[in-house]
Amino acid sequence: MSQDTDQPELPQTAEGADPTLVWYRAAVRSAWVAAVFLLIVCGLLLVDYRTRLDKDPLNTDAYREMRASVVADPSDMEAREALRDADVRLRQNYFRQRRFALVGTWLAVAGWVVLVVSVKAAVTLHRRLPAPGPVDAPVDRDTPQAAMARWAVVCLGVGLVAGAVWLNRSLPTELASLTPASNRSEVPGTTGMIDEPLHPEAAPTTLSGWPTPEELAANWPRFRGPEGSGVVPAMNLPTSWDVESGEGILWKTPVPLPGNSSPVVWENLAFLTGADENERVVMCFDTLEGKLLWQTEIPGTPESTEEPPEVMEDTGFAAPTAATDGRRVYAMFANGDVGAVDFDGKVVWSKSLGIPKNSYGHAASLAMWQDRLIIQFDQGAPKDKLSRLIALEAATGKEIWAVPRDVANSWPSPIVVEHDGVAQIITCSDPFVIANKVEDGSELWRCKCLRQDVGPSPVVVGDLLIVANEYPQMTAIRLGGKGDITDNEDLVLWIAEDSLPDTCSPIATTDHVYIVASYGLLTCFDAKAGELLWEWESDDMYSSSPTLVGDLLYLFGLEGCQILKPGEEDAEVVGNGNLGEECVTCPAICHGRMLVRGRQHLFCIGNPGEPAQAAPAADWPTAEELAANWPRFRGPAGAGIAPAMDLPSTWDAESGEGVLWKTPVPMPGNSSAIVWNDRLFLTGADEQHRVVMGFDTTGGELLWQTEIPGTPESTAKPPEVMEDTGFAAPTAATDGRRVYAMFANGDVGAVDFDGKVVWSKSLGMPKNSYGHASSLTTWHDRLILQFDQGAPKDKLSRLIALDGATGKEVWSIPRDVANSWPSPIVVDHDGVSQIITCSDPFVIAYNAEDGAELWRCKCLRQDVGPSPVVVGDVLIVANEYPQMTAIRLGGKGDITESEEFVLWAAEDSLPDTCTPLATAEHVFLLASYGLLTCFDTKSGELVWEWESDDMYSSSPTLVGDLIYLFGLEGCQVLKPGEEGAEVVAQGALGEECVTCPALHKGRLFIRGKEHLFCIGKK
Amino acid sequence: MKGRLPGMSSRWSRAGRLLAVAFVVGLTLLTAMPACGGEPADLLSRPVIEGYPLPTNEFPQARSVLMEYVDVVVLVVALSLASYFALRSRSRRGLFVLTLFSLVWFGFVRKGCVCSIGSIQNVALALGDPSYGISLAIVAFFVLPLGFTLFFGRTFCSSVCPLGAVQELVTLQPVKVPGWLDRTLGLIPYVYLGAAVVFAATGTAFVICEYDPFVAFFRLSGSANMLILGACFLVIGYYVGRPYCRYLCPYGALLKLAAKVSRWRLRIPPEECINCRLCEDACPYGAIQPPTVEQSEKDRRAARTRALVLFAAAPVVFAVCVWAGGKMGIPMSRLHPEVALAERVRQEETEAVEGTTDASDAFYNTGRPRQELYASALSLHDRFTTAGYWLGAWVGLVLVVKLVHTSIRRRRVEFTADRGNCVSCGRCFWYCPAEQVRLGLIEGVEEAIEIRRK
Repeated sequence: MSQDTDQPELPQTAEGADPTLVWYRAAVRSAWVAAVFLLIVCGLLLVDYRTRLDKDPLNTDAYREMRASVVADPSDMEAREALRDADVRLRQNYFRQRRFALVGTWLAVAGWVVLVVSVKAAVTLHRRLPAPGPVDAPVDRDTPQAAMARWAVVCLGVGLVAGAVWLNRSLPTELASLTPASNRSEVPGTTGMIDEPLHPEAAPTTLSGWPTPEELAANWPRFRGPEGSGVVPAMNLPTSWDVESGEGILWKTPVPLPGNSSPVVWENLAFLTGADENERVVMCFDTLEGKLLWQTEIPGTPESTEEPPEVMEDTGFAAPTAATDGRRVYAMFANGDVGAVDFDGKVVWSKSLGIPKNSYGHAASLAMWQDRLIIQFDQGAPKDKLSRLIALEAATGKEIWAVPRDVANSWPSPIVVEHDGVAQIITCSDPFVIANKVEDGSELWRCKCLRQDVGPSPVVVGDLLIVANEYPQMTAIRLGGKGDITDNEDLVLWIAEDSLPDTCSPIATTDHVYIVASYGLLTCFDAKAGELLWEWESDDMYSSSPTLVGDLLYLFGLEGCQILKPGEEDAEVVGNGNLGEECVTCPAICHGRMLVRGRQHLFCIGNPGEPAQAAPAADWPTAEELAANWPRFRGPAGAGIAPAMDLPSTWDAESGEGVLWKTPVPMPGNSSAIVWNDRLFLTGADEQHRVVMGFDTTGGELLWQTEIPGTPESTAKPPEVMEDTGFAAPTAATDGRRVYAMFANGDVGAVDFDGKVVWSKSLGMPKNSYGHASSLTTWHDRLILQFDQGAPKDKLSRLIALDGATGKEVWSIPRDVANSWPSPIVVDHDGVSQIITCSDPFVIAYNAEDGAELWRCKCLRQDVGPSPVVVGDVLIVANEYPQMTAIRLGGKGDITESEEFVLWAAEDSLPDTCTPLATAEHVFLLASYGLLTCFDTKSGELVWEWESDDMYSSSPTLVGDLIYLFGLEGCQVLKPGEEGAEVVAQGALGEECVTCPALHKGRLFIRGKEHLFCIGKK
Repeated sequence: MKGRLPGMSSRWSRAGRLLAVAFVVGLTLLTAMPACGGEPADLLSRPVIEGYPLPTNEFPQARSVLMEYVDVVVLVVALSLASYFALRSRSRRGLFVLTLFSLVWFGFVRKGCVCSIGSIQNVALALGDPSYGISLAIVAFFVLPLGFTLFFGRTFCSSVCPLGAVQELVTLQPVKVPGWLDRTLGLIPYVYLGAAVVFAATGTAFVICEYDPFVAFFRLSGSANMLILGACFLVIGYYVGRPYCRYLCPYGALLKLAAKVSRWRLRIPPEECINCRLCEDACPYGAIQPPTVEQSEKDRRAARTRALVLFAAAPVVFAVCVWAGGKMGIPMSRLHPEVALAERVRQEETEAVEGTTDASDAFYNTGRPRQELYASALSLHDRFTTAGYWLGAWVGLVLVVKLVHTSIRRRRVEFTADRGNCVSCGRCFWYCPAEQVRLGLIEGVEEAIEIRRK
């Protein structure tokens, strides 16, 4: 009888013969029997389970002994048989136990079913309707229940919160010590630890993950060079070669597999991709001798290799140029296979992106950014929604992001540029130029200015992007847009519609844009206005994009290479080369050699007498090297800021406390010390002599002093200088290769680290009312000099860039300013290195590349002494008259009236000589009469003032969180706070000091009037 | 047809029963169908040893896609029948039979998978990881019960869910859980739901499945711990009706919310309630609520003030919960295999532990740099901390709503089944004299009350 029926079971009052009672008793008894049965079965199952857990037959002593004896003597057939018998027995026993467990389980289920049914039946048979008694007055049970529930809920909430806190405390992470606060992690392949942030988003270009900009610049890591621009600095390359005579050809090696991809080079290795219908390989050649070192096939998937993709013969199966980050080389092929191979030729990873739907065959080359491989994978028509931009993790091939693109199949290669601190991928396609953020692939802006089959890749110079195609036009776009900028006249600077290219990518310089049409027409446009300047025609056909090496254009045609020197009105052929075979690829140029792939061979073109540089050729220090030294006035960035160091809290030159050594300086000078590794350099001069002095930082020994020879004119009579300035006021600069020095008479020279003069020259006696005092700075391989003289109307002031190695002038820009004494600084902003100078009356920024003026601001007056400093993207310039000004970098033209860029001005307690100190929070000014003033960096509000009795010509230096003020009478060390500064240490040199200290490896070097001091802990 | 509801014809009842029988018979036939496809071959060649009989390999059958769609069809039919029995025919017997069927089909035949409760995690993972492919059947198992609940109340819980079914069968001597305790424990499913979503969306684990107390019974195998846990739930379920459904089931929490706004729902009397109080203690799940008593003006004022105070305190409670949720981020992340491995490798590196584990050995053998593992784990820490804040916000919201809810009084004039808590099991029907009149068992409601008085 079922207990749940639609028939109500009415109460049974009669006993005895009542069938319901009989059923009820039967149900109860059945339930008991079932319960006991269930208990017995469950008990047996548990016992069996325990037995199986406790006794693993394979671990019994007997079994192990048998096995050991068979292992010891495999020929003992008796033992083997015994083991086999035992094994069979064990297996049989195991399956018997399993059967036992299975049968037991089913018996338990059956017992459970009987139990449930019996109990349910008994309960139903015994079911009675309730008998609610009469209720006299309704009782409100809800209110007390709700009150208790509230407290219970509160208790639950408290319990949950307490549980969370308890869990947090009782389960601390072992990885806490690896958070960026301590910045310690392991570098792959080493066992040591180095300083490196772990969070990828915070990780700068460091040793482990990806190459530094310097490394990239020294190699040819992708299609058309480091930036994909096809522009290379001047290099001593042949202007004619002939494969038949061997002239200009260093070597020539057959390439085993065909391909239209171009070579990429990393140090001594060149990489090519090649493919036919069946095979897809990466090839590696030795650049010194041209030997094929290895070729590695990139494995595809069964789908990607089932049948070859349909491609045009002109495109081939290996059109995309590989890319390398110095760790691995990455390759892509027409069937959508992409892979990474290490430098030993081993495949690191490979994957298929699917066979692209491409009418000619996939040809977009690979790009890289830091640890990412960027793939422009355009396919089909926009309506097919197949096109994608993909970022893969270079080390693993894992997809980081992929964004769909509403464009048709296209053939240009993406480039990655940094603008406004944001790295953006720029892609050309039909019909859009699109910029995506490298970080997450999100779209930044787009412009509809291309049509039909788009082949040429984009190029960027400064913040100018040039995109071109046969249809409809070439377009110059200023970077920095947002959204759809197609109709934005501020950003779309000009368009040109003549002689448009169909395959070859443009060349863009700050002045000119060159485009090559495949039928041999080279056209030059004005980069600023887009006007056609001249055309030059060849009989050859071109698929290879032009390359600009210094001021020479290399055009590789099917029949040969033409080398042109483009001018303002025409181009002049200066040479030509013959490879003996067709060439449709772009050359890779680095280390003084040019590698170019013909139809069948890889050629190396260069001057036989000049051995290729095996190592990266960048002849200037890396940012890390600069940061690790004190290479110029006020440190690497000229900011006067050094990391926290354990310096003594007091020192006294007389007692020797805290002073590691003290060395007399043979020649006077107000220039400060600079340090490179274990060498310290000073300049000194009197009326007759101008010397550079080299000291050993360990013991203070004067290693050498070298006189910079002047010219008869510059040394004929001493310049007129004030005593406070002296003849050697400009602080020297070093790039780790040479020390550069300048003197009051306009003589400038370079000395190597052994004290030998490398070069010297005279810039002419400066017309300076106090004596020339601007210190030197270096940028890359250049020496930068701010040479301000006379009044603006005299037109004597100049900013000069000299080649550090030779002293040759790279550029010299006139300045319409009066004589002034600050030192220039070089900062990187928006990917452009700019030289910032202070003078009367302008702050002017110049492009370090070519000296072109970027912006200026009229905010200084009279005798300008303090140098500029930059913190983040805020520039602080100050002078006694008229004000201190905070300027945001990134302006163009005259920004004096621009509220967007001139952030604030302050007029209190202004400095006359000392350069400000600027941090993200505060700006500190030191007036020569001893008033230190703290301003808020963001608002320019005066925060506090602190006064000293001393007099100051030395600019303040921030070491960690302590400000070091070197006055005429002594040094005060202050700890600045929010409301004031506290003197935490003091030092006495025993002589006057007007120079700035150099900080290096836990030591402070300072030049007094007569001595050089080293302050530090032993 | 004395006592029947207007429009409730016997034809409908017969049709419903016929449908149910046809459904069960069809499914039985389907289950009895032999599996298609041949024997899979050995993956590796096997050595031949003379005189030694090699055991035959056993290969589990691949899960058939067809069966997934069969499951969906079965689910739709079962939900339709459950809604029909609970709301239309008011048949406790129909629901009971369907309960048995669901237990057998979804539980023992389909071995508890796919199930709507676990489908929460698949949906969460699909939302958290776009690369995760979710089958339509799973989506259907997630959506269909919710959809039915929006229209008919928790009929899924009544007789379709195998977990509910197994508990329904063992609810034999239910005791009444005090209302305040019932309400408080009823919050735990929401917390569990939030945590399960976090773990699933981060690809850490499907905790609902891992800690399903009954799946070991359905599969007749499992770890001893899970079997013991399941047995405990069944023993508790003997006295406390549906303990898992009421105090743990995360899908039940979702259904509870949906049921609160359902279009139709189960009613205790077929018509008007006569407040006879016979059903007062009939519900083993504490879902029947008596009529409310009028409050004094003083109590009303106090209640209003309390509600205001709680409303004002809500942001603080919420903020504290968000804060505590953030604290949970790192402990929760340790369940993620990548983080667990990174922690272990770090401990081994710093010699905080001795020896290695299989996982750490495997990691070292891959040659993957430790730094990469640590960076990945730290990135997961960040992800979990964010997820922890969201979990805290969710729990905070639940607590705040519950606190405010307990301070708002709703007027009831008859015995009603609480919309959220009622699982539409139909146990209360038998107690209602009006229902007995509808079925023609007695002439009038007074008769039942009279019998009771005797």
